[in-house]
Amino acid sequence: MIRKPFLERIKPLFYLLPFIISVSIFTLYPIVNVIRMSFLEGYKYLTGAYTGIGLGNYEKVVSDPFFRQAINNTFRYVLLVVPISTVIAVILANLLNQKVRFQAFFQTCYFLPMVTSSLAVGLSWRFMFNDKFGIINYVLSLMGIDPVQFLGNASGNFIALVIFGIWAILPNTIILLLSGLQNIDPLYYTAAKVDGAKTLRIFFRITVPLLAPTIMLVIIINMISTFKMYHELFPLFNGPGIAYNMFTVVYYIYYEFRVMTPPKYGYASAAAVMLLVIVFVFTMLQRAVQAWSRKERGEDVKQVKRHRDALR
Amino acid sequence: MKIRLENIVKRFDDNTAVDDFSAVIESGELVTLLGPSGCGKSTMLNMLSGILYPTEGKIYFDDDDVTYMSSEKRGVGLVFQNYALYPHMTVLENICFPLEIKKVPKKERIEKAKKMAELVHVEGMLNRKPGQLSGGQQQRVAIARALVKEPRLLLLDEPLSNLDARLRIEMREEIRRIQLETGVTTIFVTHDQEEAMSISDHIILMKLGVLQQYDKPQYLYDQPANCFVADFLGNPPINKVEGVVEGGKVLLGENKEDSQIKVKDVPDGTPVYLSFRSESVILDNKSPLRAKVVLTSVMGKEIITSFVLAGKEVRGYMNSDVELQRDQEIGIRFKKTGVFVFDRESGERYL
Amino acid sequence: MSNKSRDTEMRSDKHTSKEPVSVGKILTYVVLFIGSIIMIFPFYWMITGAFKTYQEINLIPPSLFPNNPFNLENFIYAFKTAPFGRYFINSTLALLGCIVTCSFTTILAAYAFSRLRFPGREFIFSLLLSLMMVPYEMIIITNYRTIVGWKLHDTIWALILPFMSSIFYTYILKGFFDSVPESLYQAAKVDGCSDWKYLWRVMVPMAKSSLATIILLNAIATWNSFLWPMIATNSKTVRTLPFGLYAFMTEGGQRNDRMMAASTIVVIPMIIIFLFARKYIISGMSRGGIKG
Repeated sequence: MIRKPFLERIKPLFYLLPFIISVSIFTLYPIVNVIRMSFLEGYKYLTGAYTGIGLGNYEKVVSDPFFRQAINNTFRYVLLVVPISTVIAVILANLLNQKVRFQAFFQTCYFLPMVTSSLAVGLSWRFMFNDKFGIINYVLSLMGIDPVQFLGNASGNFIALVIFGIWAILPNTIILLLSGLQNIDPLYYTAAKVDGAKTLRIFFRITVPLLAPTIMLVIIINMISTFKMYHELFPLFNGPGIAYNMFTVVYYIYYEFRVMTPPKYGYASAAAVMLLVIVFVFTMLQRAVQAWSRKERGEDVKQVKRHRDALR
Repeated sequence: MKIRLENIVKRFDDNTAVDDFSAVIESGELVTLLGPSGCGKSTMLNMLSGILYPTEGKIYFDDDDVTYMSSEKRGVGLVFQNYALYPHMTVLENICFPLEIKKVPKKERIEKAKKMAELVHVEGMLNRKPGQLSGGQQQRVAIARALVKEPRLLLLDEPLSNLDARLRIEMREEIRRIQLETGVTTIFVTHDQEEAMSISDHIILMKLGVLQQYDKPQYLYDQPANCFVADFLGNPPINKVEGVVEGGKVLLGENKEDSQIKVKDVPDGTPVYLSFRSESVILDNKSPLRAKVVLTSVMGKEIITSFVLAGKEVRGYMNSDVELQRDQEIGIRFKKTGVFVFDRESGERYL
Repeated sequence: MSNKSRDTEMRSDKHTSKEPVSVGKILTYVVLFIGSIIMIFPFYWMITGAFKTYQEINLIPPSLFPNNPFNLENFIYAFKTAPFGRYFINSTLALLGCIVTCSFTTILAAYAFSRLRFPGREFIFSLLLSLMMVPYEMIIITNYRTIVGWKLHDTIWALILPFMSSIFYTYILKGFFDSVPESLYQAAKVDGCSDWKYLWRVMVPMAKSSLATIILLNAIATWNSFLWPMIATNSKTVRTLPFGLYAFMTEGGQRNDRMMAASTIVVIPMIIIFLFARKYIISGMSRGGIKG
C-alpha cells in the first residue's frame, strides 16, 4: 500500500485547528482548572499561591449556611416547577397537536418566550408582581384574595420565582412533548376511535402511555435546567431575594467568585464541581431514558407493522 | 484508451472482494461488469476510478501505470446509481462544475456544457434544479457531467437501477447511442443480465470476486465457461437436470434414462448436470427419451411447455401440430446448440 | 360480535362527528386561548406599559391600554439617561462577531468530523459530546480569569472569543453533513475537486437550512446573554443591551414605566426575528431542547 503524502495526512488538523484551540481554551481548560481549584485550599488567583491540597473547600461549602439554603431552595424549586409545568405542558401540547386553526397565532404566543431576553421579560414580571400596583394582585383582589407580597417578603419571593419559572420553562417543554406526540402513529387513534373510545379515555389509555418515554425525558431535562436556576433572581429581586434568602446553587457559585471581595475561587469551584456531579447523574439518567425510549419505539414500529399486515 | 488489469486483488480487513483479476479492455469498447450483488464489480469500478486502491496488482491506462494515481489525475468520468447531482445547482451549473474545477474559462465551459446537454437531450432544461427533473433526465444530466471534461474512460455504476422498467430500456439505448457517438471507452456495472446483453461489446461476468468469463454477449450465452455462467444468463433460466456419466453417456435421474448426449474423457460415475436452453428442445415422439406434459402456456407468439423430465420439471419452446394435453407422454430430443454438461461439484463444463 | 351492530355503531359515530360544533372542540379552543393570553401577557404588559405615564402605570384598577399610545416620553428618557443606542450597536457587534467566527469554526470542524479520515475521530467526537453536559456556569469562573489575563476584560473581544466555537452547533451540522450521500463527494473527487472547494461549493450551499438554524440559535443566545457580559465588561461603551438594561434598573431608580420602555427596546429585535423565522426557530429549538 502507498502512504498518503504528509500534507494530505495532516489536512484534518487544519480544519479542526480553530475549533480545537477555542474549545481547549474556553471549555476544556476551564473544566480542568475548576476541578483543580476546588482542591486547592486558600488559593490566590493572582499569585497562584495556596496553603494546602485537600477537601477543605468542600467542607467549608457544605457547612456554609448560604450553601445549605441554596440546596434547600433549589430542590424546593425543582420539585415544584418541574411537575406543575409538565402537567400543564402535556395538556397544552395535546391540544396543540390536534388539528386546530390559528396555528401561527398559537405558536407565536406559546413559543415567543424562548427567543426573548429572560432579563427583560423578568422585569415585566416584576412589574406584574408589584405588591401595590401589580396586575396580579389586582386580579387576586377581584377574586377576593388578599394581596401577596411577591416582592416584599420571603415566602412571596419564592411564589413569584415558581410562577415565573413555570412560565419560562413551558415553551421548551411543550415543544419537546409536541415532537414526541408527532412520533405516535395515528393508527392507534384510528383503532381506538373505531372501538368507540371517548376522548378522555384515549388520552389516558393511549396518549399518555405512548408519550411516557418523552415525558420522562422532558422531566429529566427540565430538572437539569431548573437545577441551574439563578438568572431569574436578577430581574425579580436584583439579587438573592429581599432577605438574602433566595440563594440557589448556581447563584451561590456566582456570589462566591463575583460578589465576594476578594473572590472565593476555591469555594465557587467546589460548589461548581458538586453541581457537575449532580448534573452528571441526571445526564446519565437522561441517556438511559433515551436508550429505553428508542428501544420502546423500535418495538412500537414492529407492532404497528403487525397491525397493518393484519388489516390487509 | 486501452485498459490493462493485471492480477488485481482487493482485500478489506479479512475478506477478499476481488481476487486475482486480469483483463484487457480494448479502446472504444463498452464493457459490462456483470454479476450478482457482492461479486466485487463495484469494488472493481472504484479501483478503476481511483476511489479505492488495489491491495495487489496493477492497472494500466494505455501504457501509464495508474494503480495508485489519485482520481482527479486519471481523467475518468463517473456516473452513479443515485446520480449524485448537486441539488443546489442548476443543470447547467452541474454540467459546468468539472470544467470550473479545471479552471476552464467561463465562456468555453458554458459552450461545452451546452454541447453536452444537446448530446444527452437535456438542452431544454438547463436552468432547472435536479429536484425538478425525472429520474431519466437526472441520469442524462449525470452522464453529461461525466462526459463534459472529455474523460479517457467513462464509468457507469448501476446507472439504470433507480429507473422504472420502461425508462430503463429507453435509457440503456441512450447510453449506447451516446457511447457510440463519443467513442469513449466505457465500463458499465450492472447486475441485470438483460441490460448487459443488450448494451455491451463485451461482458465480464464475476462471482465472489473472481472473473468467470470475459466474452462477447452472445458467446457468453452460447458457450458458457461453467455452470455459474450458464445459470446466470438467459430468460427463462436454463433448465438443469441431474445426471451421471456412464460409458461416455449422460444418464438422467434416478432411473438413469439415456439422454442421448455424449461426453468425452469423463470418468464413469461422475455426477453432472445436463443444462439446456428452452429453445434447444425438440418434440420428437419417436425419441426414446420420454417426458410428461404438465402445462402449456402461450406467451405471445410462442408456446412454452412445462414438462417433467427424469423427475424434474423443465420448460421448452416446442412446436407441435396438435395441442399438448396435461399428463400426455411425449418424446423429446436436443438440438446441437444450447445443450451443456457440467460437473455437479466444480461446475466445470464437459460439453 | 355481529357485524351488524358494529356497522350501526360506526355510522352513529360518523353522525356525531358531522355535527357542526362539538363541545370538545370549543373547550380545546377556550383552553388554548386562555393559555395563549397568559403566555403572551408579560410582553403585552411590557410594551403597553412602555407607553403609559407614571400616573397611569400606578392606577388601580390598572388600565389595559395606554391613554396616549403615542406617548414616547419613556423611550426618550431611556435614550437620554443611558446610551441605549451604543448598547444596541455593541449587541449587534457581539452578535455578528459570534456568528461569523462560530459559523466558521463549526463548518470546518463539522466537515472534518463528517468527511475527513483521521485516527481517533470517533473517540474525539464522543469526548466532545460528553463535554456538552458540563454546566456553563462552571466554565465561566476560569474564562473570566482568562479574559482578564489577556487584558481583554471590558472589550467587545471578551464577548466574542469564548463563543468562537460550539460543540452543540458542530454536532447539529455534522449530522446534516453525514446525511449527504458519499457519491456526491466521490463525483467531485473524480472531477479533481479539492476538499476545500467541495466544502464551500457543495456542502455549505446544501446545508443552508441547517446553517440557518444554527445561526438563529446562536443569534438568540448571544443577543439575550446577560450574565457573561455583566461579568466580563463594565464600562458603558462596551455594555450590551441586556446588561445595559440591568444597569439602567440598578442605577437609574426603578420606575416601571421607564423600565418597560427599556425592556421593550431589548425585546423588539428578537420578536421581529421570531415573527419572520418562526418555523426555523421552532424546529431548531426542538432539537436544542434535547441537549438540555
